[in-house]
Amino acid sequence: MAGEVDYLILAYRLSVLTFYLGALIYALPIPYQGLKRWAPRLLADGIGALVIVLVFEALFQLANTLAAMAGGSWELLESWAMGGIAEFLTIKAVAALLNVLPDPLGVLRGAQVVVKPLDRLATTALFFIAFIVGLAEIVKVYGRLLAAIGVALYAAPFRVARSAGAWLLSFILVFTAGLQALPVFATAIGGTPQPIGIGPIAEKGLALLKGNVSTMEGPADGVILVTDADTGEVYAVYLAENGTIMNDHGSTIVTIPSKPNLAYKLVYLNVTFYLEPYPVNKTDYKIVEGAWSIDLKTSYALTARNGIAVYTNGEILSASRNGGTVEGVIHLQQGQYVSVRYVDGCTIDIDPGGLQEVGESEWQWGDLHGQAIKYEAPDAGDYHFQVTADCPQLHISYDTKDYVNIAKKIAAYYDINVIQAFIAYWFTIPTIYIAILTSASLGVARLLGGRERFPLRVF
Amino acid sequence: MAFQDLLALVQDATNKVTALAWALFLFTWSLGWTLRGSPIPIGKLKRMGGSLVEDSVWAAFWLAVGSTVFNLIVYLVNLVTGG
Repeated sequence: MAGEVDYLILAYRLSVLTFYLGALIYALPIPYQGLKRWAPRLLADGIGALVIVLVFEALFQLANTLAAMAGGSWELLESWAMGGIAEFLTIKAVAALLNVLPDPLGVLRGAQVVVKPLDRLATTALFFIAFIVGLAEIVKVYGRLLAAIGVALYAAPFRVARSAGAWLLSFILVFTAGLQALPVFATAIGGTPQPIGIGPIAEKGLALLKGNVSTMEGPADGVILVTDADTGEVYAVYLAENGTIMNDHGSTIVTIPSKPNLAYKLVYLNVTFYLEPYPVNKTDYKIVEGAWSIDLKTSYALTARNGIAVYTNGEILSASRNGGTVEGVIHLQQGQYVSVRYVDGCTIDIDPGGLQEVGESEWQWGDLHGQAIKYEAPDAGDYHFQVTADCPQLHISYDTKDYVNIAKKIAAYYDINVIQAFIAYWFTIPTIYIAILTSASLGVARLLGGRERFPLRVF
Repeated sequence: MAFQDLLALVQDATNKVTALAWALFLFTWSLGWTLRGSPIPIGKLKRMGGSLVEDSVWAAFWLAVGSTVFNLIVYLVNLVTGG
């Protein structure tokens, strides 16, 4: 296959042929002006094509220098395009995620409304960026060959392919310089939209869940922390009422990150209980009544509701509740303890069943205040512990953190200005730029193949 | 047709065109002077002869310039590429 140099040699020889044809027509003994007019025209064309062949390398150097002066490079264009592709693929992934999530409460609808048009935009943008990448690849890889072919066409005698050659050459030269500087142009005018918000959701995902929490005697009240089992990072904070996890709006379907290695904790009266299973495996989630559900339990709390919490670092063998009375059998080693916490205003009656009281203290949890009594086992053994409590109605107020807010953050982030920025940055400005480059190509082509001739005949 | 054949064809055509152009120059120049110097008292004919001489001289000039410049380019390219 003929290469760039072959076409340049062809262009050179064609330009020489064109030139001599001009001389030949001058020499023709036919005094017909219409024919003779071709003589200077062909001479000029031959010289013009020859000059282009000779400065071919310099033209490319000039184009690349212009691009570098504007701050552009092929690498910059590539990273710009890859950034765009990654951005729009992420948007498509988020849109797909929001579409497949079960959403009985419509909590994701707000995010969907915003993301859906972006999804369509992303599809179009991907095609557009792919077009630019393809164009850049042609110009970058085959540019010199195409330009050499263009010069060969340009040099053909009698201007048979002069326009085509001029356009091909100018197209390659202008786009070599211009495409490299496209990201600079787009950034300078459009500014770079900074993608945020979709990071966490794309990394961690979003799942809807129904959860039940219990202690040894029954359902628990309190605050549920959804955390990373490794790092302890708190992803979400929900309330638990009568054993059911719910969010601020009272929905019993809450959102959690759809990632492995989650751990749940119960906080009640300022005591934190690790909830089992710990950490939670995928197999621990079950589908109940069409929703993913999980049963969480702490084996260290005898009870945690109605304003009272009884917990131990021993082993609770059995537990039961009868009205306001909670009782259980707890196996303790010597020195292990049972602790009782209750809010101010409770009427409380404790039967420690042989345990020794070792101290009383006070605690504060948000705006709740109360007392704590601690019992220790004098010897190893099974102890029957009983508490009867009558507490005032308790209202837990706590700063909850709904994981679905991350989805809302997407909606908040992709507001109309950002959509405009996206359109401007990825569509309008690149389109305008490509249009400018095309016009410039046509202009340069006109310059190369224009009607002006060198004044070869002086009189 | 291989690409080299195309190159050779163009080269061959150029050689032939050059040779033909020099031959035509001589013929046209002679014809021009013949017409101009002929004892035929038609002004138009004599002017045509003068025009042919003029054109042929231009043709010779450009042929000479072209040969010189193109040979110089080939010489320089060979010098640079060591061919």
